[in-house]
Amino acid sequence: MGTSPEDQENLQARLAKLTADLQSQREADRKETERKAQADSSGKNLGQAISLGFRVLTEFVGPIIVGALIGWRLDVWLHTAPFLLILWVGFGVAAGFRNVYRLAAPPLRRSGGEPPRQS
Amino acid sequence: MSEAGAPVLDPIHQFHVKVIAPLHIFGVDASFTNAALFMVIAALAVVVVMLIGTSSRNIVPSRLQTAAEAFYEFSQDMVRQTAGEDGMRFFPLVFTLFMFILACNVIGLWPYTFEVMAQIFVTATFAFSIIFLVVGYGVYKHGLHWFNVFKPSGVSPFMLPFIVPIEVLSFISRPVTLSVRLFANILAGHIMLVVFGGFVVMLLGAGAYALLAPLPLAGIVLLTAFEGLVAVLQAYVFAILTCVYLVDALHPGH
Repeated sequence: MGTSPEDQENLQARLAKLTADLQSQREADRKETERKAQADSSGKNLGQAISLGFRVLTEFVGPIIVGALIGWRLDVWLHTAPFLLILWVGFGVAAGFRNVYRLAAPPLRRSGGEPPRQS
Repeated sequence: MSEAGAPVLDPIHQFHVKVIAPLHIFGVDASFTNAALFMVIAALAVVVVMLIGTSSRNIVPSRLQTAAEAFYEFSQDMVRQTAGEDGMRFFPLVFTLFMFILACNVIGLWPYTFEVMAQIFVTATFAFSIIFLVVGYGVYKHGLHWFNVFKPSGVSPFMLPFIVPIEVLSFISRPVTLSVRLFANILAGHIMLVVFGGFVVMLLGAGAYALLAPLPLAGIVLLTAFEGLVAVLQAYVFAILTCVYLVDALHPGH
Protein backbone atom coordinates (compact mmCIF):
# COMPACT_ATOMS: atom_id res chain seq x y z
CA MET A 1 0.00 0.00 0.00
CA GLY A 2 1.18 3.47 -0.79
CA THR A 3 0.63 5.08 2.51
CA SER A 4 3.24 7.71 3.00
CA PRO A 5 4.56 8.37 6.50
CA GLU A 6 2.72 11.69 6.33
CA ASP A 7 -0.60 9.96 5.84
CA GLN A 8 0.25 7.60 8.60
CA GLU A 9 0.99 10.51 10.88
CA ASN A 10 -2.20 12.24 9.90
CA LEU A 11 -4.17 9.16 10.74
CA GLN A 12 -2.42 8.84 14.05
CA ALA A 13 -3.22 12.42 14.88
CA ARG A 14 -6.89 12.00 13.98
CA LEU A 15 -7.09 8.86 16.02
CA ALA A 16 -5.52 10.56 19.02
CA LYS A 17 -7.91 13.50 18.67
CA LEU A 18 -10.87 11.16 18.43
CA THR A 19 -9.73 9.26 21.50
CA ALA A 20 -9.32 12.45 23.44
CA ASP A 21 -12.75 13.70 22.36
CA LEU A 22 -14.36 10.42 23.28
CA GLN A 23 -12.61 10.45 26.61
CA SER A 24 -13.77 13.96 27.45
CA GLN A 25 -17.30 13.12 26.31
CA ARG A 26 -17.34 10.05 28.52
CA GLU A 27 -15.98 12.07 31.40
CA ALA A 28 -18.71 14.67 30.95
CA ASP A 29 -21.37 11.94 30.77
CA ARG A 30 -20.07 10.31 33.91
CA LYS A 31 -20.01 13.63 35.74
CA GLU A 32 -23.52 14.39 34.56
CA THR A 33 -24.91 11.09 35.83
CA GLU A 34 -22.98 11.45 39.05
CA ARG A 35 -24.35 14.92 39.56
CA LYS A 36 -27.85 13.70 38.84
CA ALA A 37 -27.50 10.78 41.23
CA GLN A 38 -26.17 13.10 43.88
CA ALA A 39 -29.03 15.55 43.41
CA ASP A 40 -31.44 12.64 43.54
CA SER A 41 -29.98 11.19 46.68
CA SER A 42 -29.62 14.57 48.35
CA GLY A 43 -33.35 15.13 47.86
CA LYS A 44 -34.01 11.66 49.19
CA ASN A 45 -31.55 12.19 52.02
CA LEU A 46 -33.25 15.43 52.98
CA GLY A 47 -36.58 13.67 53.23
CA GLN A 48 -35.08 10.80 55.16
CA ALA A 49 -33.23 13.16 57.46
CA ILE A 50 -36.42 15.08 58.17
CA SER A 51 -38.33 11.90 58.90
CA LEU A 52 -35.49 10.61 61.08
CA GLY A 53 -35.38 13.89 62.99
CA PHE A 54 -39.09 13.75 63.57
CA ARG A 55 -38.77 10.14 64.61
CA VAL A 56 -36.14 11.03 67.20
CA LEU A 57 -38.40 13.78 68.50
CA THR A 58 -41.44 11.56 68.90
CA GLU A 59 -39.46 8.64 70.28
CA PHE A 60 -38.05 10.93 72.92
CA VAL A 61 -41.21 12.82 73.84
CA GLY A 62 -43.58 9.86 73.62
CA PRO A 63 -42.34 7.89 76.65
CA ILE A 64 -42.18 11.03 78.77
CA ILE A 65 -45.81 11.84 78.10
CA VAL A 66 -46.91 8.25 78.58
CA GLY A 67 -44.86 8.02 81.77
CA ALA A 68 -46.36 11.24 83.09
CA LEU A 69 -49.86 9.97 82.35
CA ILE A 70 -49.18 6.67 84.09
CA GLY A 71 -47.65 8.39 87.11
CA TRP A 72 -50.49 10.86 87.34
CA ARG A 73 -53.20 8.21 87.19
CA LEU A 74 -51.34 6.02 89.70
CA ASP A 75 -51.07 9.03 92.02
CA VAL A 76 -54.78 9.70 91.76
CA TRP A 77 -55.49 6.04 92.34
CA LEU A 78 -53.09 5.47 95.25
CA HIS A 79 -53.25 8.98 96.78
CA THR A 80 -49.49 9.33 96.68
CA ALA A 81 -49.25 12.57 94.76
CA PRO A 82 -46.81 13.72 93.56
CA PHE A 83 -44.19 11.04 94.12
CA LEU A 84 -45.26 8.46 91.56
CA LEU A 85 -45.65 11.19 88.96
CA ILE A 86 -42.07 12.29 89.55
CA LEU A 87 -40.83 8.71 89.49
CA TRP A 88 -42.64 7.84 86.27
CA VAL A 89 -41.61 11.02 84.52
CA GLY A 90 -38.05 10.02 85.42
CA PHE A 91 -38.68 6.58 83.92
CA GLY A 92 -40.17 8.31 80.89
CA VAL A 93 -37.09 10.46 80.36
CA ALA A 94 -34.88 7.42 80.75
CA ALA A 95 -36.99 5.48 78.27
CA GLY A 96 -36.84 8.42 75.89
CA PHE A 97 -33.07 8.48 76.04
CA ARG A 98 -33.03 4.71 75.65
CA ASN A 99 -35.13 5.00 72.49
CA VAL A 100 -32.90 7.69 71.04
CA TYR A 101 -29.83 5.68 71.93
CA ARG A 102 -31.36 2.64 70.26
CA LEU A 103 -31.98 4.71 67.14
CA ALA A 104 -28.48 6.13 67.11
CA ALA A 105 -26.59 2.93 67.95
CA PRO A 106 -28.25 0.19 65.93
CA PRO A 107 -25.44 -2.34 65.43
CA LEU A 108 -26.29 -4.30 68.57
CA ARG A 109 -29.84 -5.10 67.55
CA ARG A 110 -32.53 -4.29 65.02
CA SER A 111 -32.07 -2.44 61.75
CA GLY A 112 -31.30 -5.13 59.20
CA GLY A 113 -29.30 -8.23 59.73
CA GLU A 114 -30.48 -11.19 61.67
CA PRO A 115 -30.81 -10.60 65.37
CA PRO A 116 -29.10 -13.26 67.42
CA ARG A 117 -31.59 -15.96 68.25
CA GLN A 118 -32.07 -17.16 71.78
CA SER A 119 -35.30 -19.08 72.02
CA MET B 1 -57.89 20.84 51.35
CA SER B 2 -60.52 23.30 52.36
CA GLU B 3 -63.46 24.32 50.29
CA ALA B 4 -63.31 27.80 48.84
CA GLY B 5 -65.52 30.51 50.23
CA ALA B 6 -66.23 31.51 53.78
CA PRO B 7 -64.10 28.97 55.68
CA VAL B 8 -61.03 29.60 53.51
CA LEU B 9 -59.14 31.12 56.43
CA ASP B 10 -60.02 28.29 58.77
CA PRO B 11 -57.24 25.75 58.29
CA ILE B 12 -58.94 23.21 60.54
CA HIS B 13 -62.14 23.18 58.56
CA GLN B 14 -60.75 20.62 56.13
CA PHE B 15 -60.54 17.98 58.86
CA HIS B 16 -64.18 18.13 59.94
CA VAL B 17 -65.77 14.75 59.77
CA LYS B 18 -69.17 15.13 58.18
CA VAL B 19 -71.88 12.54 58.26
CA ILE B 20 -72.98 11.52 54.80
CA ALA B 21 -75.43 8.73 55.61
CA PRO B 22 -76.57 8.44 59.24
CA LEU B 23 -76.60 4.87 60.48
CA HIS B 24 -77.11 3.61 64.02
CA ILE B 25 -76.66 -0.05 64.81
CA PHE B 26 -77.75 -1.08 68.31
CA GLY B 27 -77.17 2.43 69.57
CA VAL B 28 -73.68 2.60 68.08
CA ASP B 29 -73.13 5.54 65.77
CA ALA B 30 -71.83 3.83 62.65
CA SER B 31 -72.72 6.62 60.27
CA PHE B 32 -71.05 6.73 56.90
CA THR B 33 -68.89 9.85 56.97
CA ASN B 34 -66.60 11.57 54.53
CA ALA B 35 -63.69 9.89 56.33
CA ALA B 36 -65.24 6.49 55.67
CA LEU B 37 -65.92 7.48 52.09
CA PHE B 38 -62.29 8.33 51.43
CA MET B 39 -61.10 5.19 53.18
CA VAL B 40 -63.32 3.21 50.83
CA ILE B 41 -61.95 5.17 47.88
CA ALA B 42 -58.36 4.55 48.97
CA ALA B 43 -58.99 0.84 49.52
CA LEU B 44 -60.70 0.56 46.14
CA ALA B 45 -57.81 2.42 44.49
CA VAL B 46 -55.31 -0.05 45.94
CA VAL B 47 -57.44 -3.04 44.96
CA VAL B 48 -57.98 -1.73 41.44
CA VAL B 49 -54.31 -0.94 40.87
CA MET B 50 -53.16 -4.29 42.20
CA LEU B 51 -55.87 -6.38 40.51
CA ILE B 52 -55.67 -4.75 37.10
CA GLY B 53 -51.91 -4.45 37.38
CA THR B 54 -51.43 -8.15 38.04
CA SER B 55 -54.27 -9.49 35.89
CA SER B 56 -52.40 -9.81 32.59
CA ARG B 57 -49.06 -11.09 33.95
CA ASN B 58 -47.13 -10.17 30.85
CA ILE B 59 -43.46 -10.94 30.66
CA VAL B 60 -43.02 -7.44 29.33
CA PRO B 61 -45.14 -5.58 31.87
CA SER B 62 -47.49 -2.75 31.12
CA ARG B 63 -47.17 0.47 33.07
CA LEU B 64 -49.73 -0.50 35.68
CA GLN B 65 -48.18 -3.92 36.05
CA THR B 66 -44.78 -2.33 36.53
CA ALA B 67 -46.21 -0.10 39.23
CA ALA B 68 -47.93 -2.99 40.98
CA GLU B 69 -44.78 -5.12 40.84
CA ALA B 70 -42.66 -2.23 42.08
CA PHE B 71 -44.94 -1.72 45.08
CA TYR B 72 -44.94 -5.42 45.82
CA GLU B 73 -41.20 -5.92 45.55
CA PHE B 74 -40.45 -2.76 47.47
CA SER B 75 -42.58 -3.88 50.42
CA GLN B 76 -41.22 -7.40 50.14
CA ASP B 77 -37.64 -6.17 50.42
CA MET B 78 -38.63 -3.91 53.28
CA VAL B 79 -40.18 -6.74 55.30
CA ARG B 80 -37.43 -9.21 54.47
CA GLN B 81 -34.64 -6.84 55.42
CA THR B 82 -36.25 -5.64 58.62
CA ALA B 83 -38.06 -8.66 59.99
CA GLY B 84 -36.09 -11.46 58.36
CA GLU B 85 -37.36 -14.49 56.47
CA ASP B 86 -39.85 -15.58 59.12
CA GLY B 87 -41.16 -12.05 59.28
CA MET B 88 -42.56 -12.70 55.80
CA ARG B 89 -45.67 -14.24 57.37
CA PHE B 90 -46.62 -10.67 58.26
CA PHE B 91 -45.97 -9.47 54.75
CA PRO B 92 -49.68 -9.35 53.76
CA LEU B 93 -50.43 -7.21 56.79
CA VAL B 94 -47.54 -4.81 56.24
CA PHE B 95 -48.20 -4.59 52.52
CA THR B 96 -51.89 -3.84 53.09
CA LEU B 97 -51.07 -1.20 55.67
CA PHE B 98 -48.42 0.41 53.50
CA MET B 99 -50.58 0.54 50.40
CA PHE B 100 -53.62 1.79 52.28
CA ILE B 101 -51.77 4.59 54.05
CA LEU B 102 -49.96 5.51 50.86
CA ALA B 103 -53.25 5.64 48.93
CA CYS B 104 -54.94 7.69 51.66
CA ASN B 105 -52.07 10.17 51.77
CA VAL B 106 -51.72 10.54 48.04
CA ILE B 107 -55.46 10.87 47.45
CA GLY B 108 -55.76 13.28 50.37
CA LEU B 109 -53.28 15.64 48.71
CA TRP B 110 -55.79 16.54 46.01
CA PRO B 111 -58.00 19.56 46.55
CA TYR B 112 -61.55 18.87 47.74
CA THR B 113 -60.60 15.48 49.12
CA PHE B 114 -60.47 14.39 52.72
CA GLU B 115 -57.20 13.32 54.35
CA VAL B 116 -57.99 10.26 56.42
CA MET B 117 -54.57 9.99 58.05
CA ALA B 118 -54.95 13.45 59.58
CA GLN B 119 -57.47 11.90 61.98
CA ILE B 120 -55.62 10.67 65.02
CA PHE B 121 -58.34 8.09 65.63
CA VAL B 122 -57.47 6.37 62.39
CA THR B 123 -53.71 6.31 62.95
CA ALA B 124 -54.12 5.36 66.60
CA THR B 125 -56.41 2.50 65.63
CA PHE B 126 -53.75 1.17 63.28
CA ALA B 127 -50.92 1.65 65.75
CA PHE B 128 -52.71 0.06 68.70
CA SER B 129 -53.89 -2.85 66.57
CA ILE B 130 -50.28 -3.46 65.61
CA ILE B 131 -49.09 -3.40 69.20
CA PHE B 132 -51.91 -5.69 70.31
CA LEU B 133 -50.95 -7.99 67.47
CA VAL B 134 -47.32 -7.93 68.63
CA VAL B 135 -48.32 -8.80 72.20
CA GLY B 136 -50.91 -11.36 71.12
CA TYR B 137 -48.68 -13.10 68.62
CA GLY B 138 -45.70 -12.99 70.95
CA VAL B 139 -47.65 -14.64 73.76
CA TYR B 140 -49.22 -17.13 71.35
CA LYS B 141 -45.82 -18.07 69.93
CA HIS B 142 -43.60 -17.94 72.99
CA GLY B 143 -46.03 -18.20 75.88
CA LEU B 144 -45.24 -16.18 78.95
CA HIS B 145 -41.54 -16.26 78.06
CA TRP B 146 -42.37 -13.52 75.64
CA PHE B 147 -42.51 -11.04 78.51
CA ASN B 148 -38.74 -11.44 78.79
CA VAL B 149 -38.69 -8.85 76.06
CA PHE B 150 -38.92 -6.32 78.87
CA LYS B 151 -35.90 -7.81 80.61
CA PRO B 152 -32.70 -7.21 78.67
CA SER B 153 -30.25 -10.05 79.06
CA GLY B 154 -27.11 -9.46 81.02
CA VAL B 155 -28.49 -6.90 83.44
CA SER B 156 -27.69 -7.28 87.11
CA PRO B 157 -30.73 -8.07 89.30
CA PHE B 158 -30.29 -4.83 91.22
CA MET B 159 -30.92 -2.80 88.12
CA LEU B 160 -34.06 -4.68 87.10
CA PRO B 161 -36.53 -2.50 89.08
CA PHE B 162 -35.28 0.44 87.04
CA ILE B 163 -34.72 -1.22 83.70
CA VAL B 164 -38.05 -3.03 83.49
CA PRO B 165 -40.26 0.07 83.88
CA ILE B 166 -38.11 1.85 81.31
CA GLU B 167 -38.48 -0.99 78.85
CA VAL B 168 -42.21 -1.24 79.54
CA LEU B 169 -42.62 2.50 79.03
CA SER B 170 -40.66 2.46 75.83
CA PHE B 171 -42.88 -0.38 74.62
CA ILE B 172 -46.13 1.28 75.66
CA SER B 173 -45.13 4.55 74.06
CA ARG B 174 -44.63 2.86 70.69
CA PRO B 175 -48.24 2.97 69.53
CA VAL B 176 -48.44 6.56 70.75
CA THR B 177 -45.39 7.71 68.83
CA LEU B 178 -46.31 5.62 65.81
CA SER B 179 -49.76 7.17 65.52
CA VAL B 180 -48.75 10.71 66.47
CA ARG B 181 -45.91 10.75 63.95
CA LEU B 182 -48.11 9.91 60.99
CA PHE B 183 -50.98 12.08 62.20
CA ALA B 184 -48.85 15.14 63.01
CA ASN B 185 -46.88 15.07 59.78
CA ILE B 186 -49.98 14.88 57.63
CA LEU B 187 -51.96 17.33 59.74
CA ALA B 188 -49.21 19.93 59.82
CA GLY B 189 -48.64 19.70 56.08
CA HIS B 190 -52.30 20.12 55.22
CA ILE B 191 -52.72 23.03 57.62
CA MET B 192 -49.66 24.72 56.11
CA LEU B 193 -51.09 24.37 52.62
CA VAL B 194 -54.36 26.03 53.63
CA VAL B 195 -52.61 28.75 55.62
CA PHE B 196 -50.46 29.64 52.63
CA GLY B 197 -53.57 29.60 50.47
CA GLY B 198 -55.13 32.00 52.96
CA PHE B 199 -52.10 34.27 52.62
CA VAL B 200 -52.65 34.50 48.88
CA VAL B 201 -56.29 35.48 49.34
CA MET B 202 -55.52 38.01 52.08
CA LEU B 203 -52.72 39.64 50.08
CA LEU B 204 -54.87 39.87 46.99
CA GLY B 205 -57.47 41.75 48.99
CA ALA B 206 -54.93 44.12 50.57
CA GLY B 207 -54.52 46.77 47.90
CA ALA B 208 -50.93 47.39 46.88
CA TYR B 209 -49.75 44.35 48.81
CA ALA B 210 -51.39 42.23 46.13
CA LEU B 211 -48.03 42.44 44.38
CA LEU B 212 -46.67 40.09 47.02
CA ALA B 213 -49.40 37.52 46.46
CA PRO B 214 -47.31 35.30 44.12
CA LEU B 215 -44.82 34.65 46.93
CA PRO B 216 -47.04 32.42 49.07
CA LEU B 217 -48.39 30.94 45.85
CA ALA B 218 -44.88 29.82 44.97
CA GLY B 219 -44.64 28.60 48.55
CA ILE B 220 -47.70 26.44 47.97
CA VAL B 221 -46.10 24.89 44.91
CA LEU B 222 -42.99 24.00 46.90
CA LEU B 223 -45.02 22.79 49.86
CA THR B 224 -47.17 20.59 47.67
CA ALA B 225 -44.06 18.90 46.32
CA PHE B 226 -42.77 18.51 49.84
CA GLU B 227 -46.10 17.10 51.03
CA GLY B 228 -45.94 14.56 48.24
CA LEU B 229 -42.61 13.43 49.66
CA VAL B 230 -43.99 13.40 53.21
CA ALA B 231 -47.04 11.41 52.13
CA VAL B 232 -44.91 8.62 50.69
CA LEU B 233 -42.22 8.80 53.36
CA GLN B 234 -44.62 8.61 56.28
CA ALA B 235 -46.39 5.61 54.80
CA TYR B 236 -42.97 3.99 54.42
CA VAL B 237 -41.91 4.92 57.96
CA PHE B 238 -45.15 3.55 59.38
CA ALA B 239 -44.71 0.30 57.52
CA ILE B 240 -41.05 -0.16 58.37
CA LEU B 241 -41.66 0.54 62.06
CA THR B 242 -44.48 -1.99 61.97
CA CYS B 243 -41.88 -4.49 60.77
CA VAL B 244 -39.43 -3.45 63.48
CA TYR B 245 -42.07 -3.91 66.17
CA LEU B 246 -43.18 -7.24 64.74
CA VAL B 247 -39.62 -8.49 65.18
CA ASP B 248 -40.27 -8.26 68.91
CA ALA B 249 -43.18 -10.63 68.53
CA LEU B 250 -41.07 -13.10 66.56
CA HIS B 251 -37.82 -12.94 68.52
CA PRO B 252 -38.38 -11.52 71.97
CA GLY B 253 -34.92 -12.41 73.22
CA HIS B 254 -32.33 -10.18 71.69
